Amino acid sequence: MELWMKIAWAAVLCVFIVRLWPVAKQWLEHGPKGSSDDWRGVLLPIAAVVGFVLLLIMLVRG
Amino acid sequence: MSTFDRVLTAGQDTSLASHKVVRNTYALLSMTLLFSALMAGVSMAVGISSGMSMIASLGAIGLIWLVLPRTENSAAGLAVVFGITGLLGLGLGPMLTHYLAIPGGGKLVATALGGTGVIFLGLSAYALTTRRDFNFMGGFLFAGMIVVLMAMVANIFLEMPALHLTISAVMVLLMSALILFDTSRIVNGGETNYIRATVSLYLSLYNMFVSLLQLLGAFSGNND
Repeated sequence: MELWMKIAWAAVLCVFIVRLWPVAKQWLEHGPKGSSDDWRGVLLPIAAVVGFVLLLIMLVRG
Repeated sequence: MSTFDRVLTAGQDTSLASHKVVRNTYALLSMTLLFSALMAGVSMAVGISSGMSMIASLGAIGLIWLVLPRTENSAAGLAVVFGITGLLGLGLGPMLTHYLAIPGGGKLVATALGGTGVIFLGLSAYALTTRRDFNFMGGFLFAGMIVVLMAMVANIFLEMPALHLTISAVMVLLMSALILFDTSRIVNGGETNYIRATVSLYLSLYNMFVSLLQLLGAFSGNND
């Protein structure tokens, strides 16, 4: 990637961070908090995604 | 009408409204995905440069930041959604051309595409059938996105393959959680605008596909 493209992408990503910062702060301070049961309900599908991605990796390696 | 009846009717109205948002979101998402694929095909056929691809992606980001918030409640919002997804599709051209040129590249792209589809359908089905409220993940997801974006900025200049791989893997997990978060917001009435919901889900799918393709490309051993 050429230097001007690197600088442009970095600038765009920095603007992303600046725009996301107040949103993240708002959610962290005032957003609802999950119970351990709530988090278990997320971990199950995410673990399935991890397993599936590992399967895909084995598929392309084989 | 008794209080009980009124509560029951209000509940049915909310449920009907969320059903309408779900239906409209998935209909628009299907059309935008097809349009995006078409534009990616055009981009590959024309052979646009990586500079043009970057300009197309920047154009899409500009539409998301500056135009979408002003048009999302009108019919013009539909044209903006197609503009965003078309430009992002165009931007995918050089990346797809690169992967298709390597040995077994076709299988790689097809696996990433199919994998993204299976993950999206599975997570959507989970969120739609359990109707769980995943709003509690909001803070975690946005903070996670900031950390990933910082790592991406650093790696633009550091160019570390291991960090690139880690970013791709974390991105797949973050986008999976975002699909659960967005779908649950649509189902539970937290998101009532199907144009905004479509763009949000499209971006999750787009980022997941790109990250999965990079991940599979790295592990296939054919990506230079």
